[in-house]
Amino acid sequence: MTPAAVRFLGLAKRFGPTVAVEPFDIEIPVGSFFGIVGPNGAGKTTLLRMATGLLEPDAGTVEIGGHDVWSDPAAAKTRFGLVPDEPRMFERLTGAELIEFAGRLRSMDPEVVATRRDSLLRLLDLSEAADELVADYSLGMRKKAAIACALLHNPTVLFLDEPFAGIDPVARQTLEQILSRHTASGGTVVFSDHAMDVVERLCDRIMVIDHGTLLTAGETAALTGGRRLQDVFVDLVGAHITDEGDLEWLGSS
Amino acid sequence: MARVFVALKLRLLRNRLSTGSLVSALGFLVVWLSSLAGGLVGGGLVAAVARLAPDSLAATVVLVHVAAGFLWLLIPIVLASLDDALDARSFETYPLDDRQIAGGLVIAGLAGPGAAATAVAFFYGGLLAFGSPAAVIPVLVEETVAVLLCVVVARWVTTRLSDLLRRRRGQEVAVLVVVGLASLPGILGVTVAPSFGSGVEFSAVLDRLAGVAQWTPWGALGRSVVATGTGAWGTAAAFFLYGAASAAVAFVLFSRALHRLSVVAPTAPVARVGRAGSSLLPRRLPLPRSPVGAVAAKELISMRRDVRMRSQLVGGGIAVVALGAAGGTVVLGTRYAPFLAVLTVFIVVNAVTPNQLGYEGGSFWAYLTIAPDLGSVIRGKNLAWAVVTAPLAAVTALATAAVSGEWVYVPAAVEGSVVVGLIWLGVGDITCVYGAFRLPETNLFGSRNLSGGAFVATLLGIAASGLLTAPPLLAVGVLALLAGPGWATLAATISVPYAVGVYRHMSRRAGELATRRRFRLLGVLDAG
Repeated sequence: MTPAAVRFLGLAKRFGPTVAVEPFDIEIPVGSFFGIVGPNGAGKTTLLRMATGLLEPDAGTVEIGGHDVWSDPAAAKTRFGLVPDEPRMFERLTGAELIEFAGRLRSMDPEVVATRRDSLLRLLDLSEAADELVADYSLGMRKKAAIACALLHNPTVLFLDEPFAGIDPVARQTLEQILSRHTASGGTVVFSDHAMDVVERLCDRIMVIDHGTLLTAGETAALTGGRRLQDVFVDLVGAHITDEGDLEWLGSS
Repeated sequence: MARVFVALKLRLLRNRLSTGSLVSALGFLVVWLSSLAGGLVGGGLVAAVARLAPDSLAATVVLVHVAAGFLWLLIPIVLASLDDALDARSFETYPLDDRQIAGGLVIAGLAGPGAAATAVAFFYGGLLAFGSPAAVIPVLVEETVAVLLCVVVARWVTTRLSDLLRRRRGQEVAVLVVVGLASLPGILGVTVAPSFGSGVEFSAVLDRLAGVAQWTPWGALGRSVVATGTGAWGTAAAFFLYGAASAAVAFVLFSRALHRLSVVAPTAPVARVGRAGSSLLPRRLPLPRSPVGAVAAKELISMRRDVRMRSQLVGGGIAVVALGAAGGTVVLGTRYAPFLAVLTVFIVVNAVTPNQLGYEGGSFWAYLTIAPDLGSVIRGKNLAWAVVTAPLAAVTALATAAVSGEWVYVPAAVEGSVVVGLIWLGVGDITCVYGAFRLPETNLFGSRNLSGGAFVATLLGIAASGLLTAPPLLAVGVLALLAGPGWATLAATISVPYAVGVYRHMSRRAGELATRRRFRLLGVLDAG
C-alpha cells in the first residue's frame, strides 16, 4: 500500500453558524498530484489553511509525512511548502533576498540556499528582476517568487492555492513542468483551482467539495469515467439554469 | 447629483453602523462627539479671547482658521480619513464628468464629522465674536466658504497624493513632505518659545504669526471675518475674494486630480536596489547565521528601504533634535549632557518597536509556515534595533561630552541607555503582540486598523515600561545630582543586570504569547 503524504482525519471548521468544512477523512498518497476543486466559497482555501497551520480547525488532525501539523508544527513545517492564492510578501526585500531569507529562516546551509536560489530564479524567469523589490513585482512575478520560496527546501508536499491564476501562459507551462517533476521524483502536490481543464490534465487524484462537504474523491480517471471533468463537476454541485425570459432585454438595443 | 452623493454617503454610513459591531458603532459615535467637541473648543477659544483679550482677537481668528486648514490637510493623510465613505474611483465607470464627481464628493464631504466640527468652530466663534446684526450674514457666507475651502483643499491634496502614492518613489517623497508638515508645529514652538522669556508680549507674537498666516487662503478668510466684524468692508471683500478664488482654484485642481487618477496610468519606474549576488546578511556585521540573524538582517534592510519605518525614524530624529534644542540650553554644555543618549535611545526604540509585528502586515503568514518559532522572529527584530541604537547611544554620549568637555558621566549615560533600551524593547515585545495593528504594506497613508484594544494595549505598554524604567533611572539621576558621578555610575552598572533580566523575561514571554495568539495576530495583520 502507498504511504500517505498527507492525511486529513475528521478535519472540521465552522465560522459562527456557517459550516466551512464538514468533518471528513482522506489520505493523499506520496507522489500524487492532488487537485481540490469546488465552487467559490466551497471551503478550498479554508482546507489548505488548516492543512498548513494557518487556521486552527475546530476538530480533527492533519498529518504531513506522519507529523501532526498541530502537535508537531516544527517537524511538519520542514516537510511542506505553501503558495497562497494572493501571496503577500516582505515587500522591501528584492526577489533574490526574499528567497535567501526563506532559506535562512529554515536554517538551511547558505551555499545550498545560494545555489538553489539562482537556479529557481533562472527557471522561473525571474533572474532579470532578482534585484528589484518585491513591492514592484506584478501578481504573476509575486506568485513565482512565492513558488521559489516554497520549493527552496525541497519539501515532500507542496500546497498551492490557485497557483495558475494571474500568471502568463509561459510561466504556467514552466510551473506545470516544475510541479510534474516534483511529483515524478516522489514529491506530492496538493492544489486547488477553478480551471477544470488544468486539474483534469495534471491531477491523478481529485476531491470535489461544496459548502464544506466532501462530495467525492478518488482517481481522476475513475471519477470522470471518460466524461469531461467540467461536466462531472457541474453534475455534482448543480448548475444555475437561467430563465431565458428574464434576459429578453439583453442585447435588444 | 449632489443629492445622490449625499444620499449614497448617508446610506453607506447607515449600513456600516447597522452591520458593524457595537464597538465600531461606539467608535463612530466617539469620532462624531469628539469632532463636535473639538469644534466647540475652537469656537469657544475665539469667544473667550473676544471677551478676555480683545486685542488678540483678530490674530486668534486668523490662526484658528489656519490651524483648521492645517488639520484638514494633515489628518486625512497621516491618520485614517474622517471621510472615507466615498471613494472617487468607484464612480469611474458612470457617465459623470470629473467636475460632477468632484462637486458630489465635496458636497458629500460636508456631511462628515470633520466638516461638522469645522463648521461649529467657525460659525460659533465667528458669530459670537463678530455677530452684530449687520455682520451676521456676511460672516455666515465667509465661514461657509472657509469650511468649503477646508474640504476642497484636503480632497485635492489627498487625491493628488493617491496618484503620487501609486508609485513607490512618490510614496517616499510624500513621507518626507508629511513628516515635514507634521513637524511644523513643533519647530514653530521651539522657534517661538524663546521669545516668551525675553520680554516679548504674547499678543505681539500672535500678531506676528497672524500677519504671515493671513496670506494663506484659510487665514485670508479668517481675516475677512475680522474685517467684516470691524466694519472694514473693503478689506473684508478683498480677503474674501482671495479666499473664495483659492477655493475655486482648489476645486478645479481637485477635478483635474480626479481625472488624472482615473485615466492616467501610473508610470512605475522599477529600480534595482540590490546588487547582483549580494547577500541578505551584511558582510561587515557578524550577525548569527540562524533564523534570528536572518530576521535581524531583514529588519535592517527594512529600516533603509521601508518608507513607513524610515518615516518613523525621521520623525524620531526630528523629535530628538527638537527636544535637544528645547532642552539644549539646560543640559548641553553641562556635565550632564551625555544623558541625552538615554533620550535618544528612548525615542528611537519607541519609534517602531511597540508595533513591530504590525509592519509585516499580510506577510506574517510566512513566519507561521517557515520560521521555527515566533520567539526567533521577535528576538531577530530586537537584535536589529540593538545594532542601530547601541552605536547611536555611544556616539551621542561621546559627542555631547566632547562639546562640554566633561566626560565623567559618559559611562553612566551609556549604561543608562542600555537599561532604557532593554526594558523598552522587552515591554515593546509584549505590546507588539497584544497591541498589533495592521499598517498598510506599501505606503504609510493607507487605511490601518488600530482597534480600541490595540490602543489600550499600547498605552498600558508605555505605562509598564515607564514603571519599570523609573527606579533605575531615578536612582542614577538622584545620585548624579546628590552624590556625584561615581555613585551614579555604580547605580547604572547595577541596573544593567536588572534590565537584562526584565528584557529576557519579557521577550521570552512575548514569543510564547505570539505563538499562542498567532491566529488572532494573523487575522489582525492580514485584514483588509
